[in-house]
Amino acid sequence: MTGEQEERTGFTEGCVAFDTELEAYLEGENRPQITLHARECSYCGSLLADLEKIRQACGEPMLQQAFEVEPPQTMWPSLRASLIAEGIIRQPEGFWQRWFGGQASLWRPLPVAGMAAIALAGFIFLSGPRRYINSSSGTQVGQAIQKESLTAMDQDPQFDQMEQRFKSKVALFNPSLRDAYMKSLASLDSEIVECRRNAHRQPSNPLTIQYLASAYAQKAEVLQSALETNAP
Amino acid sequence: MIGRVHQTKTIMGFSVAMLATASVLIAAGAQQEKTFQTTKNPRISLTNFIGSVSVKGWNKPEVHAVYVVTFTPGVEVDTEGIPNKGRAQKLHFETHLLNSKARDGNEAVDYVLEVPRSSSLEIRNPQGSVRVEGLKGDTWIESVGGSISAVDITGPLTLRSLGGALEMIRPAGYIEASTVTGDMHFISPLSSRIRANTTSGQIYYEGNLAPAGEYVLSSYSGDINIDCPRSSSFELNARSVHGKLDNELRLTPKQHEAFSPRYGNGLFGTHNQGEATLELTSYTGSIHIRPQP
Repeated sequence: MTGEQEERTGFTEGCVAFDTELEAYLEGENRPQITLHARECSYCGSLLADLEKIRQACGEPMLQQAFEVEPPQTMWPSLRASLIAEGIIRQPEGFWQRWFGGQASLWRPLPVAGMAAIALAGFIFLSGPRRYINSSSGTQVGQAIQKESLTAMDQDPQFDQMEQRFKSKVALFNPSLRDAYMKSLASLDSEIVECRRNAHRQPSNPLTIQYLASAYAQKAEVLQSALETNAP
Repeated sequence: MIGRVHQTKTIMGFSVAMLATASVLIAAGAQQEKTFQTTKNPRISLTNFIGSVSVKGWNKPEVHAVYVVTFTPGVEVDTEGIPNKGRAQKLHFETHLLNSKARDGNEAVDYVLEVPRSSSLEIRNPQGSVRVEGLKGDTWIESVGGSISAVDITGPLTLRSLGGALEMIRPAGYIEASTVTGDMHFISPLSSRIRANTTSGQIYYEGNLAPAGEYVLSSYSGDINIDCPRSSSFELNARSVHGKLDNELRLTPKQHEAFSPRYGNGLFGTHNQGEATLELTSYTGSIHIRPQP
């Protein structure tokens, strides 16, 4: 990484090495450079502190399961927003904003407890394409919280309130904006309905759960985007 | 009597002419132009409501901005350079409604910007199209219903639109793209890392896959279409719960049990040496992998 790149992105070679070795460190391997770099770099230090707090909040075995898998890209922003909202972790600046779209976004993640639960379920239950297929231990952990999480999402009053507020607000939008929102939500609702139906038929199908969790997260982001927009 | 009629007609004619002139002026919009001296890699943000945004990279350490306000009485453009003396490190452009209650959907501003190539760019344009070209800094663009086109972007690129189409022509940096209903089109990509997902939009990838590159594309009901040269080399991991998988390239299948999907359809194997990693996932959408003619 050149000096110019470092200046532009804020990353150093140490950050790249940190990123590479973080998983092994969290799995208990001796990686002294992780803690050393975390002390020198505020971004990575903040990240490590957050992950340590998640480890404490979730329990170490669960986190280890989580790190065996690669989360879907939509999971982390929602999970993180929920954990911040609940005060479990704090909001660093720069690093995560750059990598996980934490800018003041039209699609700001929704801070609701149900979102945290379902995102966590997805995060743990779902794995990278190469690993999930026969990952029975991951499946067990995921299933243990999956049912509760999906129920929490369906019954979350904040989610329901958001939909009601959205309906009031969208009526004030101009037709093209309203159309874009309504079509998107219709598409996501259709996905949710079908995935829920299939999740009941095949509760251990990880792809169905992955899509369902992702659809909920996206729907929350779309609703939040509409509620926050100042567009006419 | 005839004289009074003539006078009245003259006044009416003049009034009509004045109204027409005013209408033309309003329709033509109020064009404004500004130039800012900047560093080589300023951070530029632009927030608009309706209208098109076009940004092109150039080699000068300055930003030249032209914007046309088509509904002058209700809209103005705020610009701010930071610091306000010397070369700006940050520039903000923001469309501002003078009366938030007086909205009729015509509050459009069209922007044309020329910026240093290494600029970092952040654009929000909910209801209009965005086109960016020739940039190598971080580029982040978001829309609700507008389409986004990115041409020759060599830096990291993040594009999001709910309903608008995304088009990426010869992108070379890390790409993260998402839509809900909008289509995505990757044309001759040079990027070695692409992540894209859509709910019901179609994904089209036309081009080669970089050795050691990683391409993760997913959709719910939209089709994923990969058209690549026969000489491309990749490891394929394609899964669909209810969609069809259609591969026209020679694939050496993976025999290991771990690559047998328990649910739905899967296609796992290597094409040529398997240098790139191609992960495709859909729920009901079809996945097509075809050789380029």
